[in-house]
Amino acid sequence: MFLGKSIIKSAVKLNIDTCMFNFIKFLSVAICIGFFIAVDAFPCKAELQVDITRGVVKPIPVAITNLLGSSRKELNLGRNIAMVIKADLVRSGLFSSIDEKAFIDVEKSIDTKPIFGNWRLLKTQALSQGKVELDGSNRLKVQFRLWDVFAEQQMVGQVYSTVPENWRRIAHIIADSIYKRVTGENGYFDTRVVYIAETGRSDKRIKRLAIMDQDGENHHFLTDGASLVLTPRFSPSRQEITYMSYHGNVPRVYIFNIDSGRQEMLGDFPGMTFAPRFSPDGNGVIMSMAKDGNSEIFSMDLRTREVKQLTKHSGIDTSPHYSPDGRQIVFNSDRGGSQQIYVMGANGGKAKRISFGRGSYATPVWSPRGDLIAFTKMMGGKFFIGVMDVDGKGERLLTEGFLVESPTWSPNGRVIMYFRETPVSKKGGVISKLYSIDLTGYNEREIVTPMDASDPAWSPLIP
Amino acid sequence: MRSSILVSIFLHAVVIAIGIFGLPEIRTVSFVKDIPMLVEVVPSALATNIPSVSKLQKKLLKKKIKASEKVSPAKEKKVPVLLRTPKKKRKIVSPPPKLKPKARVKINKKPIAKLKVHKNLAKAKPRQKPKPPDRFAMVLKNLEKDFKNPILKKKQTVKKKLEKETDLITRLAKSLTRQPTEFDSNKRVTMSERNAMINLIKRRMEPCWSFQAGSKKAQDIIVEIEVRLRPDGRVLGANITNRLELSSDPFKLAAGESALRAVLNPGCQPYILPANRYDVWKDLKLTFNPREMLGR
Repeated sequence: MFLGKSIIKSAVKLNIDTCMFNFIKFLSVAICIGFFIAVDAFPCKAELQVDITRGVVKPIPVAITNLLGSSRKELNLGRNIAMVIKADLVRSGLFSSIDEKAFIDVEKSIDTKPIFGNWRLLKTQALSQGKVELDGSNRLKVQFRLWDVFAEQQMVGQVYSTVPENWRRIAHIIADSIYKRVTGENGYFDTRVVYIAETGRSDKRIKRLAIMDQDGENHHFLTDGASLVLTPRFSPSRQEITYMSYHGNVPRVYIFNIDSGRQEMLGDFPGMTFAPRFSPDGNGVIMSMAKDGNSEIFSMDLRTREVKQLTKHSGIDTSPHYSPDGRQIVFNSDRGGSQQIYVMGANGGKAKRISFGRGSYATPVWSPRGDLIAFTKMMGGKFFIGVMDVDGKGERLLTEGFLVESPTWSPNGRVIMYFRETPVSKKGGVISKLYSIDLTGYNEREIVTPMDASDPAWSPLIP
Repeated sequence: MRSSILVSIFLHAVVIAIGIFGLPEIRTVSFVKDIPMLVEVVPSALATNIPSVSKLQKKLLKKKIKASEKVSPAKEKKVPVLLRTPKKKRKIVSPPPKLKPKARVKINKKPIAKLKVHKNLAKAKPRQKPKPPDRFAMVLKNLEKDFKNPILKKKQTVKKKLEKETDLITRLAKSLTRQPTEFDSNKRVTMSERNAMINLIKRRMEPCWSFQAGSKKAQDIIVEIEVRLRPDGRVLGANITNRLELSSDPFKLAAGESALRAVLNPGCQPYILPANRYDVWKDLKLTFNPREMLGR
């Protein structure tokens, strides 16, 4: 009996063991097959995948060779054009120029491929070559090629034809072309700047309207200084400037035609008009008007001369500026107790405050790209130039000083120009200079002017 | 009548046949197959049983050692040799419960005789050097002994059959799937090695990528470049794989070309990578995206 029980027990145990064995066998086979499938599905790839998430903000080395020519005059022009191109690119801060003395063997023709090995030795990434031709009818023909030295490919190839006097513009246009091809953004070298040229003692300051190329060349005055002028702004579509003048001791907004030199007062408002700006299509002007201790924003259609009041508030509303699409207006107001930046629709209506940082804000300017608003900020006894997103977020201060004010955007929305006042004497004497700074906060440069300068306004690209 | 005779003859023949050959085995015994399972269990059971020696056994062992120590001082030196031999140890451990105090007396009386035998054995077999991890040796020896057992041999053959079956399944799995040619232990790269190579390339590449971070929508730029390196770490060739996508926008194209220049820039080469891992870093797939520059 006992033996029988033990046999049954052992038989039961054997069955359990069999089940267990089968399970282990199944499991091991499954694992084995799974392993090989896994190995096949996720093979150990030989290719390395690398994510580069950071670069450097470093000037791109370019070699600008003198443009070739067959006569002395052509060679001189070629050298001058190359100098202007070089200066434009270097001033942008995005390019560095390889010293001409380091060139190993400059090609004698632009119709053959350069010897890239020679240029690679100089660590240049782009090579500019060109040729100048003056024909019998006094026309200047400029051929230009841009090469990618590492990829050994032509990036740009263009020919320009104009009168010889325009050689500087040709140089700016070539510089714009290089800038655009290498950075992918439109250039801003073929542009002009209008500003207020200041001379004389601080108590008898003479302020004149002046205009120059963005590099400070071709400088000339637009007004004679008999009347105080302020806040000039370029038209986006025409060779016109709007500004405020104290002509006849009555502060009014005027329009100045650059080509004809003709001035025109915009309307006869009961109060003082100031801080004018063109609409994006150039057919309208937006400005402030002060009356009875209050300041409101008005718009005027330049074709119909129709005036429309856009704000109605007891606070001081001023410095209006259209968004590039013309749908919104950014302006400055103290309606909330301190000077802050507000945004409203192009036809007025409810305004939304977008600046909430410490200090007070002034002179908001919408970027031509539409993504940022530049402003002047007063905080802790200092002035700052900064940018913020159009919703007021992401505020970044680019520069600071005793007085930095009046930012204006380059037409590509990449550079901001402004003026900086620096005290030089205890009697209140100051010097005022124009400066430009890259959007990233790097590459702050002085724009050399013949005299003190303030209130700059950058033109769009010259048509 | 005739048929009944035939039936009778047939039945008789059947009875005679059963008498000669015996009854046919109608029911097969199924548990034979299950026996091999015990084979798998045996070694581990032994191993796990070793530490569970009872206190009594331990006492006996100690007493035996003491008894051997009581031998005259002249022969004292040889006793440890005797105790150290694996065979002797095993004898002590294996018959645990049946040992009685009398057996202890016998052991005490015989050490000299045993000593002589083992002395000879020690001379004849110098290979039996004492090994400290005796447990494992015991297990091995037990296994060796067990293999001589015919039942276990049978179990072993069944085990071999099972192994063959597993081999077959494995080979089938291999043949059904693609051969993982790169799955070679010599070529296999650890994650740390791979990361080290990636970091090295990143460190070398990033200072060479001059990118205009202030550009609008710069954070959306993704440039993919395939690179083939030479064994000396210099770039043999590189091309932008998503050039078509980038060509639609001048800014994206410029960004792509700036990334390509960073790759081709001779000033940023060679990449000092482990030469024995050339197969790993020969082909690179680089993805340029300036998100860190923009603080994203």
